[in-house]
Amino acid sequence: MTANPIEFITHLTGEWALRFILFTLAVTPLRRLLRLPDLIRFRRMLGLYSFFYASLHFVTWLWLDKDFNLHEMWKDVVKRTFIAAGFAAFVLMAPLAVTSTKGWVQRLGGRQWQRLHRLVYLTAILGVMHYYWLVKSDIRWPLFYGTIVALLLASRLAGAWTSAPHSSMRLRLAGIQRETKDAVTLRFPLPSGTPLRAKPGQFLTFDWVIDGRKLTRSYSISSSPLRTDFVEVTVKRQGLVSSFLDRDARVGLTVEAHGPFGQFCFDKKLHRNIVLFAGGSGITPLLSMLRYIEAAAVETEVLLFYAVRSEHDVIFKKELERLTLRLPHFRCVIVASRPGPDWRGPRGHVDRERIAQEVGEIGDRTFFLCGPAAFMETVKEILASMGAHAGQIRQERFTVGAAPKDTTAPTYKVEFVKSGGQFAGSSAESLLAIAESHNIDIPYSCRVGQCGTCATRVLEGEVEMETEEGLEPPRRAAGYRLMCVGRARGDVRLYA
Amino acid sequence: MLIAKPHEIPYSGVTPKRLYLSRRALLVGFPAAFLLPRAQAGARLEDLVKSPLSTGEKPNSIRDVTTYNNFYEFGTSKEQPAQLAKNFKTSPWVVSVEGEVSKPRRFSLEEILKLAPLEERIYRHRCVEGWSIVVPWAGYSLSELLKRAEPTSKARFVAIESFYDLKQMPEARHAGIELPYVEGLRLDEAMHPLALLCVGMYGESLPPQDGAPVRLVVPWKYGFKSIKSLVKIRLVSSQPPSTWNITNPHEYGFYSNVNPQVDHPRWSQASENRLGGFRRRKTLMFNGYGDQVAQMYAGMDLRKNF
Repeated sequence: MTANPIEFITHLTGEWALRFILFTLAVTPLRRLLRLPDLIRFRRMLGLYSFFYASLHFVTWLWLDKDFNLHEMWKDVVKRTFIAAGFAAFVLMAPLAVTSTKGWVQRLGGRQWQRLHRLVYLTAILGVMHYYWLVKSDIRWPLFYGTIVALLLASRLAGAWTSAPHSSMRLRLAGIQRETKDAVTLRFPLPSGTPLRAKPGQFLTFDWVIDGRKLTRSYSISSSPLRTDFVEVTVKRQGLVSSFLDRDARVGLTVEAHGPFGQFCFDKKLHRNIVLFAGGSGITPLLSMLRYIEAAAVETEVLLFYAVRSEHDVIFKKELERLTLRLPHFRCVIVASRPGPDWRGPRGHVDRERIAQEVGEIGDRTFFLCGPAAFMETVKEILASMGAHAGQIRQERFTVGAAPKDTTAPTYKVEFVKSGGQFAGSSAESLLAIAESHNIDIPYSCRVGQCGTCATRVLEGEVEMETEEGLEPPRRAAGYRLMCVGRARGDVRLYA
Repeated sequence: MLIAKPHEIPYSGVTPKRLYLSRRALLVGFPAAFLLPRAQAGARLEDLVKSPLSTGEKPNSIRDVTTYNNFYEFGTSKEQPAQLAKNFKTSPWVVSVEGEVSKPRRFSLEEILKLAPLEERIYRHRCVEGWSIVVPWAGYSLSELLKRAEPTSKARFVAIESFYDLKQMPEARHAGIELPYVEGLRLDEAMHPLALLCVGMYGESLPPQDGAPVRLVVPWKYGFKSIKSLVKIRLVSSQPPSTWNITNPHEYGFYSNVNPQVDHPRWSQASENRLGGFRRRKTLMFNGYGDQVAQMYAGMDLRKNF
């Protein structure tokens, strides 16, 4: 303490309030910079520390300076710019402290909460102004803090421009609609005023928590991306998640979702004439495109091939019938490979003959393919042989269900430099899966090569990626590879 | 006139200062122990005459007055001067009195110490920042020195300048004010008996952070008028510039009389925080020296001439 304890306490508490604001604001850029997404765990605590010191600062002033005379206090606030700035900074922090709990995040919804908590930017700016206006002549410290605030805010602007506009949100299951015997549509309301801003054809990634384990699955959005009231995904029930959904999926269940992600998108300006190929549950992103075309009244010529096993497997049958009536430029060809005797539509496969017959000229059409890998491969070959070039063919890359265990694939040494472990890993498994099976933490989100969260630097060896849409070219050049879709092609050393 | 008793117990004489300070340090705690200055080896000033101009209020502790200083040449924080002025060279020291005077003179510090009987004056000291202290200064009225130089009839103001040397004051480059520090008084203010040419405090010579070896103390004005470590006094015919007025003319006027009715633009001047305490007290007009000085400002708009 100095000879002036009032001033000492006032300055100390004020400075720490400002410092903790800066620490709080540093969390997001540091997470990105150091690739430590777990730092998010400290953000709430740092923010509350700042509010704690700001409260002490405020009370010190109110008590020791103003003697709890609220009238005098208010006179000072109104009269003196620097006090007004400090007071405003403090008042703005209060709602953020109150709503800092998980409960409030859920009550407000992720987006709303995030929007509210952007007030912290204003608090930081006001805090620095408060300090700057206080000092008499030596402005080094206020300038120092001001520079840091400017950098932290600039990093956010830069981040907003360079990264995809996706985010995480907590969604609440509000409706379950059975589509076929093994497909259900899950409906999640969107918090009011927070459109998803998805493009038609994109997907969301869900973190299901099943028996205490986090299981991540990505699902195409099946509803129109223009809807602001809800979002729907259609899920084919198979495997672990499906039995979980059978057992636990009830209205009211909440789930963390990320996205929207994905490059498999319809663009009304580019795609004037499109042909959609759906195999089984691959119909979902294509239905979203159709619903978008309907809602936005886009004048695009659409032809849909929909390959199913039997008439019982046609998801969205009614919806497709409705769309056929509604959309003047839409045609739908459902091909069943093993239909019942009552099936009146075409039988067999989506083969060359049928495509040639329905499509005619390849022209400048764009082809969207979504379905099992073999289905997409076949269609792609046919289209290529008909003269379509690679740029005309778009396909959704995520495979349905887990990749089959390939025991014949060669095994390589995989070394994780930061965690300090070396393991034998199959070249059939993704490096992310190998890391996870040895409890090595690599942050991830979409798991399908779209979001870039899992990008990790490869120090040595070759990694082959199924897709690299989520990897910006500069990072690729710097040696980063996407772990979720990356497989070892020899011994590798990873900076993870 | 009061006659001092010979060999009065000095303020620091009861307990050796070093012990006294280290005892405090224990109380204040670990971090403060590092901030405490080493005991200043101030020379005892003999035969101080008690002044009738002293206040009866209890002086602050010497620690308050030596660890909490505004002396921007030695850093802008309150704690820095005690550290950074430690090796400030105050000898030899010459104060030049010049300008509108019949006998311009350069006074050595030794001469200044013997020019007139040294008095102990306990003054209230009010900083423009809203804190105050009570200090037993040692010195005599500035008029004693000025008289020796015989101001001419043209002299209407005094302009005073501090010592400035970046080599000894490296922190001064961050002070944010123009240096050397300059201050000024109207001649009648400078000749007022309360205006003190100060060479010591607490019965000893001034520690560097308090303006060694010689400073001004103008108790009815805000502390920044009480210029420290002065080297030049120039009598002039028109109002001289003053450092804080140059720095921020909207906030700091030439007169800067303590005035609870005229707020600093950024804070109220109605009350003050006496160092060592936790409660604010009302600030007095002219810092409580109104009876002696108010007549100098009769008819002046003190709101305009702040």
